[in-house]
Amino acid sequence: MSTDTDTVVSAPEPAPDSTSASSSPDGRWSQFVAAAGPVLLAILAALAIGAVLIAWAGENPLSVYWTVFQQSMFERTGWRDTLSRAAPLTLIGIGLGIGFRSSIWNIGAEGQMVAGAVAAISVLGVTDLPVPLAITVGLILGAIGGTLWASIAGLLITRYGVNDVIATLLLAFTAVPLLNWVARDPLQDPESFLPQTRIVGSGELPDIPWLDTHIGIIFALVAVAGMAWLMRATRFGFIVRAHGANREAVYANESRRRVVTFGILALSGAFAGVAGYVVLAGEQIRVSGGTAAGFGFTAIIVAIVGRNSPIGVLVSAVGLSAMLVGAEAAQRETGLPVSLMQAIQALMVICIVGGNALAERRDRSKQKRLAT
Amino acid sequence: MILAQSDIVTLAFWTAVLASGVRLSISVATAAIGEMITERSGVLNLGLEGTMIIGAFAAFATAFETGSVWIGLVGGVVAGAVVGLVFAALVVLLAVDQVVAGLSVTLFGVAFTSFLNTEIYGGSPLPPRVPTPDTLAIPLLKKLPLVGEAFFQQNQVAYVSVILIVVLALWLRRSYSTLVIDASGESPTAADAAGHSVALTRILATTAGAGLAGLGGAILVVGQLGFFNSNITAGRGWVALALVIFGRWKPALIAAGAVLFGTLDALQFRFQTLDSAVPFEFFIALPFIVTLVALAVGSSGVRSPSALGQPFRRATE
Repeated sequence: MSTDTDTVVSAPEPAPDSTSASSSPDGRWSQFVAAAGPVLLAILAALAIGAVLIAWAGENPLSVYWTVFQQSMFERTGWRDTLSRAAPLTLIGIGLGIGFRSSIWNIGAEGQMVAGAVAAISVLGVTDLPVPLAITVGLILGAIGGTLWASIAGLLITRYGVNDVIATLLLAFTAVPLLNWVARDPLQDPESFLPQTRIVGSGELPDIPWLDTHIGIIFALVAVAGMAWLMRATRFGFIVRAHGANREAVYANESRRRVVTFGILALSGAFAGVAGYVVLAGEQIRVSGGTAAGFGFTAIIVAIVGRNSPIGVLVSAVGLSAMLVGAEAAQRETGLPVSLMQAIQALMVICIVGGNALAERRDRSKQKRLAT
Repeated sequence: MILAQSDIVTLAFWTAVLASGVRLSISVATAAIGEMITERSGVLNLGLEGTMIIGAFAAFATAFETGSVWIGLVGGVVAGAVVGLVFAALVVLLAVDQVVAGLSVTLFGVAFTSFLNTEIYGGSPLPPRVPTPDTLAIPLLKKLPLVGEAFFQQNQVAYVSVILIVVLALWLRRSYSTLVIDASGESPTAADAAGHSVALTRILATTAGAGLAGLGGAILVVGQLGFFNSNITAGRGWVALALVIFGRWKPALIAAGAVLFGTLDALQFRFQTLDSAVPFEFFIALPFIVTLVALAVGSSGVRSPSALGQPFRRATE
């Protein structure tokens, strides 16, 4: 599935990203095609399986897919929702991607996101700061909340040797009941009978005039640009990439085991926490049980589909967000549940990694034929 | 019913807690033993939660259509094994990253079963139910203090599952297959050199483990609850994964850990109604917190199978 000129030199570990700095003779464009071509094929394969399921459910697959596309991309509300959800997905996805690329598996972004939102509302709910200051405070508190929650996992992993997937995920399961408690008791809006906090007030994100969507997507774009530069041009980026490829070498030469693992976890937690603030201040206005809306889990797919690179994450976040927004419109029209689209997105990941592995295998056998 | 603090010191309270604790532990223990077999062959199946819930739905659907709990259980095993076979093909034959593949299977399983459930059984306002199996009380033994109700007054599915787990554990202790499984998880090169196919061993161990995970989901739904809901496994697959580490890849320790976790879960349900200053949400989070603490305390010096999570490629390939 990759082009003939771009043979992958046999890398024994099938790291989920392969956007390495190796330059092919045909330059950037063919590199892009080689990277994006198999992904597009895999996405088509997943959509084809989805079409079978839609047909089984008694709907016309083409008209359902058309509804998804048209509602999410061309309708004003769809466009708005797509971008406003792509913002937190991008923010979380960037952080997770950095972790995945360095083989540190933070699966509990949902909990870190919740912690960020709670940290932000705990101050913004009771103060009335001027708008720019309120937003700054919200972003910082979100980052701190997410970092703290991720740090618990970091401590369990680096100091007590707990498995990273399990530590981060069980902490997310822990965060959700605590969120319900916070919204019901200590931070509950005294004027409300519902388990929800006060409103975010002046910390609410303003809209971008012509786009009709809140400025969260701008934060996401800034984060993408910043992290893309950081990954490409700094020692930090080098350590992250090297850690995924050969972590023992990193520990021997560059940095200490605990520092690297803890730092990458804390960073991805900070991104998730900021996303928590964006969800709070852009869409939900208050913190409630509904603040844990699944962004942290969808972002896992976003990161993998975006091949863990910041720009890839941005593209996949917009795409996956549009699919979900469109699927909600399709649910309203046909009654087809949104969970089908979530299943299709998981299938996409399976098709993408499976397709990559097949391509790699074919390249390897071709190399062997050439060698003999 | 509000639980008074004085109730907690009574024997009746703890007898009831242990009984429901054992009941809650059986599905998790079954899935955890399955994952243990898979991991000992060198494959980390993070798709356990998704496999469990697919098994749970398949079991519910087969039990609902045939009217038999037992056929439902078989349906759960078969569905789990099919999912495991696909996962094994991805990670063993194609050497796809095991973490990515496993997470995808879990995300797929949770979403897909939710979709199927809405499409097939979503029409009625009340979820359809299947009859739960009859309780089988063993005379005399059921009267034993504390443990009587827990071990000798459960339903038929519970007994069958426990017997299955015990037989499996005994077989694993004594069989040649265990040696081959452990060899491909500890030193695949050596296993290969000794003439055993590492790929085949891992595919079989992964399929069998996933079949047990499917059975775990089936036990939960047709053996205990009698209905299916979106996300009905609610993290039990992840707890089972934690139990494998906590139990150091040994069946007896894993089973003990499962009973501990189940008892905690049972306690949590009751503590939610306790009139105390502690908010009930903390009790909901308690099983996860305790699992984390147990892992933190118990993880030092634990050695996982050496080749766990690493794909094996023959030198000649």
